[in-house]
Amino acid sequence: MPWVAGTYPVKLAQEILIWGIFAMSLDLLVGYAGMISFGHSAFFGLGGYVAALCLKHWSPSLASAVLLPAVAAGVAGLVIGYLSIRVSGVYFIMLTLAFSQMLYAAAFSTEWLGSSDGLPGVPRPSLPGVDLNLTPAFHLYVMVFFALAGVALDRIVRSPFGRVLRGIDDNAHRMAAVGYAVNRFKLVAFVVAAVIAGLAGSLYAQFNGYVSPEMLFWTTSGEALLMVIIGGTRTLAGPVLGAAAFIGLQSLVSSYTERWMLILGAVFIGFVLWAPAGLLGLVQEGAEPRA
Amino acid sequence: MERLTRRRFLGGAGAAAATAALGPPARRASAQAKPLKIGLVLPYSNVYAVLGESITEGMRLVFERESWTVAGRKVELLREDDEVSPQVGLRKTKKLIESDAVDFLVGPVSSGVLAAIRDTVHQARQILIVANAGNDEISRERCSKYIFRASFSNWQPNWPMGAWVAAHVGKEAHLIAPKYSAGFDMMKAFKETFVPAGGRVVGEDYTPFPVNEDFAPFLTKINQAAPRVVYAFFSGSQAVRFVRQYDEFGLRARSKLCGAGFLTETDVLPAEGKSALGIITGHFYSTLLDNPTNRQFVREFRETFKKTPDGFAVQGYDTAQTIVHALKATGGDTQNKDRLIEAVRRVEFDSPRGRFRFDPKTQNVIQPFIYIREVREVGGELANVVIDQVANVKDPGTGCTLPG
Repeated sequence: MPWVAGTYPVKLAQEILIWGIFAMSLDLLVGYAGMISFGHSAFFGLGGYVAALCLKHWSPSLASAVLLPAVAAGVAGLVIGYLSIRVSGVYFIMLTLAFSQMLYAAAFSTEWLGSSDGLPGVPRPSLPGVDLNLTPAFHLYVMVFFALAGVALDRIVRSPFGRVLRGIDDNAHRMAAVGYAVNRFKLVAFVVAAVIAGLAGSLYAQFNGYVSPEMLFWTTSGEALLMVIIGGTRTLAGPVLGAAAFIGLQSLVSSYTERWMLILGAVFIGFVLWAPAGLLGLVQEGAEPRA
Repeated sequence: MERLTRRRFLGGAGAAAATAALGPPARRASAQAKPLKIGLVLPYSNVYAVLGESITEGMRLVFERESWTVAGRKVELLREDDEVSPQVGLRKTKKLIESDAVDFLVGPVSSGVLAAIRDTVHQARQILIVANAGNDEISRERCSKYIFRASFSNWQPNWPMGAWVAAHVGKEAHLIAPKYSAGFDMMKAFKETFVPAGGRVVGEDYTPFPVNEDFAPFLTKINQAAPRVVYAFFSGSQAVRFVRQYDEFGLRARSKLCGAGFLTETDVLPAEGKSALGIITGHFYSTLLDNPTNRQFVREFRETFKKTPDGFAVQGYDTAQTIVHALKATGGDTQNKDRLIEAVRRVEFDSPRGRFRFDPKTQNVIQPFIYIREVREVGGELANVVIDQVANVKDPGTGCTLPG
C-alpha cells in the first residue's frame, strides 16, 4: 500500500498502527486483567522521551530507538505498578493518574527536556541498507514492530498466564483462595503493558521526530482508553480498530467541524449503551449467520 | 459565511457585469489560475480558541478588502483546528501540506505546536507564516528559510522593558511568570537590559502552568519582600486572576506592576477592571495608536466583527497583508518557491503597528516600535495608553545562519 497511496494516508496509517500498539497494551490491563489504568500515558511518554534523548545524544541505533525506551518503561512500570496494584477500582485509577501527571509536570517544567515545547529534531535510527526517512521503509519498520507486539500480546493472553489474568478480572478473591499470587500476576501484566506502551511511545517519537509533554498527559491515557472501549475490550484487534476509528474521525471530521469531539462523544455513548463489545463485536455479529 | 460588504458587493456586481459583457465562457479570470490555498493551523477549540478566532478575523478583514481575489487568484482559507496539541497540530500540518498542497501555511498560536511542526515544514519546503507563537528559537538556532514570523519573538516586547523600567520605575524587581518556555524566554529577555542598567533582581518565581488557581503563596512572598517593581508575564485567564489578586493583596500601592503586553491586552482588560489601572507593559501594539492605518483597521474591525481588535487580530491582519503583497509581487505565481520566498522577504507595508517588514537575517518581523503602555481610563473605558516607545526592535537572531 505505501507504494501506491499518497504520503498523507500512509502517514495516517502509521499513526494508527503506533496508537494501535499502545491501545493493545492498555487492553491487556483493562480488558484481560480488569485493571483500569488512567496513567498508561506515563509509559508512552517515557518511551518517547528516552528514545528522543538516546537517538539525539547517544547513537542512532536500534538499541536507542526501541530497546532502551522499552526497558526504561518496564522499570517505571515495575515501580509504579508495585505501588499501585495494592489498591483497586477507583483508587487504582487515581493512583496511576497521579503518577503519570507527576511525570508530565516534571517534563513540562524541566528546561533540558525542552520544558513545555518538548524535544525537537529526533532522528530516526540508521539501519544498514535501509533509509528510514523514506516513508515506505518507515512504514515497514512500524509494521514489523506492530506485528511483534501483536503476536507477543496474543501469545500472552492465550497462555495459562493470560487465563489467570482473566480469572483475576472475574473474581480476584477466588483466584487468591485457589492459591494464585494475584498481586504478582497483576504486577507482571502491568510491566508487560508498560514495556509495550514504551515501545509504542518510542515509535511515536521517531514518527513525529519530536516529543512533547503532552505524550505524558492524562488525556493521552484517556484517548487510548476510548480506543479500547470503542474497538472492543478483551480483544486485541478491537483496540486497533478503535485507534483507526478515533484517529480517522479526528483527522477527517475535524476538517469540517471543530465539534468533532461532540460526534466522538455520541459515538462513544452509542457503543457503551448498545454495543458494549465494541466495533469488533459489531463486525463479528455481522459475520455470524443468523439462526 | 462572509458578510456582504459594500465593497464586496460592488466588486461582485462589477465582475458580473464584465462577464455578462464577455458572454460565455464566463469564468475567464478564475479559470486561468488555480485558487490560492492558505492553510490555517490554529486553535479553534480549547484554551486558545479566542486567539485563533481573532487571528482569523484579522486575516478575513484583509481578504474582504481584496474581494477574496489576489493577483487574479481566488483566495481559499482551509481551517484546521490544532486543539493546542503538538501531536494534532503536526498531523494537521502534514494534511495541509501533503493532501491539500497549500500555497501558504499560517499558524500556530502555541509555541509547543510551532516547535513540533518546524522540522516537517522545513523538510517539505513549505512556506509558513507564524501568526502568533513566539518561541525565540525559531528566530535563532532553529530558524528556517521557509519560516517567517509576522507576530513577535518572546524576546521582543520584554527586552526594551528592562532598561526602561530601571530608568523610570525602579531598580529592584521581583520577576514572576508561568513555568513554561514562554515564561522563561520573556524573563530572560527582561534581565538582559535590566541588570546592565543597574537593576537588581531580588526574587524570581515561576508558577504552575497551565493550571494555577491561586497566586496567594507567591503574592505573600512579594508582600514581605516589598520590591519597588514586580515584572510579570501572564496571559489569558491567568492574567485576569493574577492582576485581580495582586490588587486584592494591596500590593498596587507598594510595588509597581509592570510586564509583557499580554498582561493587559484587550482580550483580558475588561475582566481585570480597575485592578489593572496603572500597570505598565511593553507591546508592539495598542488599540489607541494614532496612525491612519490603525484608525481604519479599528473602525473596519468594529464594523465587521462588533468588537475591539487586539494585538492578535493585528498579527492576523499583517499575516494576510504579507501574503497579499508577496503574491502581487510575483504576479500570482506560487510555483517558483525561491522567487516567492524572495518576494515575502521583501514585503513592506503600513501595518496598524507601524511600518511592517521582516528582518532578512531571521525572517522575524522587525517591531517598528515596542510601545510602553500604561493602563488608564479613557472616556470611561480602560485602555493601554502609550507613554513611551522604543523603535526598531529586532530579535538578535543568535545562532541563525540564514544568508541575511
